[in-house]
Amino acid sequence: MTGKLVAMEDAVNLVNDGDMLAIGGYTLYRKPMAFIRELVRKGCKDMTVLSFAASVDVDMLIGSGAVSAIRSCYVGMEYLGLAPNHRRHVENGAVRLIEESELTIGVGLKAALQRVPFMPVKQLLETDMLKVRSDIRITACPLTSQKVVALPAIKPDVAVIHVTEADPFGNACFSGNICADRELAMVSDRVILTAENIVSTEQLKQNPQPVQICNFEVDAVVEAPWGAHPTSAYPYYTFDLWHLFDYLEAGRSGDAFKGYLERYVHQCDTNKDYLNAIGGMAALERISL
Amino acid sequence: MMCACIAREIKDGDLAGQGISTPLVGAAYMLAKLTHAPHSVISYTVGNLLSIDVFPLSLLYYEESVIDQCLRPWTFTGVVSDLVPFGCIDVEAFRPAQIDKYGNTNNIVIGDYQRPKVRLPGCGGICDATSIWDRIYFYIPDHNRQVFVEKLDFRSGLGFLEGQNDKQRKALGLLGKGPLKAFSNLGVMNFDEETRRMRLVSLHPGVTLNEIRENTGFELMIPDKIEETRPPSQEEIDLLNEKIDPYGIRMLESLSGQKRNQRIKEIIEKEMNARQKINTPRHAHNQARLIDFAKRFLGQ
Repeated sequence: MTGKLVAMEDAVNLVNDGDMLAIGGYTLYRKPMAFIRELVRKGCKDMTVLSFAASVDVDMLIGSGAVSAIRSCYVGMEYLGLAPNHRRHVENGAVRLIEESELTIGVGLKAALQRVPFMPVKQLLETDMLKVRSDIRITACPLTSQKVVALPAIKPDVAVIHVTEADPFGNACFSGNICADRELAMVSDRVILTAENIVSTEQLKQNPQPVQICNFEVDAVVEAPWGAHPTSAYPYYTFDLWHLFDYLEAGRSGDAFKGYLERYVHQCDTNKDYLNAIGGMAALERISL
Repeated sequence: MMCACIAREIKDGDLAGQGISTPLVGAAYMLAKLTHAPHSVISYTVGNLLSIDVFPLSLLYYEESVIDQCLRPWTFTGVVSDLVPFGCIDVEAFRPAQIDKYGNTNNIVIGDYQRPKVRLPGCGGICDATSIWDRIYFYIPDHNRQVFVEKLDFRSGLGFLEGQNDKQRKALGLLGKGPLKAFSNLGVMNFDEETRRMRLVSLHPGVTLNEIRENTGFELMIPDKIEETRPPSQEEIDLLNEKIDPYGIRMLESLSGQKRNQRIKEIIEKEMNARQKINTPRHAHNQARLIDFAKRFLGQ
């Protein structure tokens, strides 16, 4: 029973420099962090990252120098404040921000699913969003002449999504916080799942939650227990605020953040090394739900 | 005070939207549910779930509470491209980083867009909702001239544009009616029906007219009669402190920097200690998973 099950270091090879990488999850919830740490180790360049609402996922990639453009309607650390690397690199002009709202991403993905170049909406008129997004245009409806705003389709090259249960063929479950993950899996050219647990298809069918992502959408499955840390993976663990405080402290300067990456990413070859570095059992017990 | 003010605006049966990291708003909706609006439904950004239950605010376990109490799950794309544009959500209170005299708002940057002084998280769905919904409120925990500005650095949320009655909004075919009120730590403001300029309604107890004028970066319209904001009743205070927000998480919205971090650390220690006394089937299952995992992978 192997199917699409691969090692983390092989899965990251599905991501190329310059790709538009879509990251699943939402702010501090179910982010594929183990995969992102592997990308940092690999040293990706010139990525455009698409994340509906981003936090430490996008911030870490920015801090490692992997990102040239961000597509997101929110990059922040929820009530912990601003995302430090994001703030610094956008303020000094090192990273380009493609300004998005919830709608521009949500409707952009829907347009890509319909394989149409744009979809019209009634919002965004008179906002400065239109001044900083030359690819969003005001147009007249061909049927009623109403003024509408045309939002371009968004089609990521590759998506990475952290799930709670997956079988080796790429069927996957996750519950509660669905985010935009189903659409990302359908619309992206390549799809990588990282999973808390690898289970059999039979076990997956017995899961009270329905399968959210199907095997035909998926290219690779990676086993990554606690792979969302320091973000959450309901119903197993919540986010690690203690670790996030250390992350924020390190993010205050470029040099301190290099130290963080050295300690938690470059010196941790495996997920096991990482989990020991963050405090082992005691740390995992603290966040366990 | 702001929390009670927002709660009083909720009508029974409303579908009320809550955004990213806005515990004060969550507390207000639940206060409304426990007082005059028991049938209102809350739409949470966390999980994109609709919920009709009241449960205590939490920093560590909020996602779990919201998901466990969910009435109807949705997806993010579903919410933003179906629920929001169709105007299903009746009411939401937003927190702007800047607001001008016509209720237009900014949550994008402070300073020049290309080389900002401060890059903020982004507008989330504020620009999507403010042109569609009929009942938009704002809350500003720190009323000062950096928030209440003459000119926005970026317009990401629509108020009454450049005033001019409502002609401009109507000419654009905007569906919503424009913002209704703004609540700050100093007072309550609404928008004049003719000019659509921000107008003082009431001052919170102990706040002077001069104080609010000095802390507003534009000329606030002053009515002939200024009322005093009705403070929260003892019942409202008790509900907030006992049932809705025993850890005082809503107060985090008024703090920043080290003070906020210190407060967060105190709260999460308390939450974790209280949690350890609970023994649910999920807790037992996850503990077993943890121990199995430690044996197999961590060598512990």
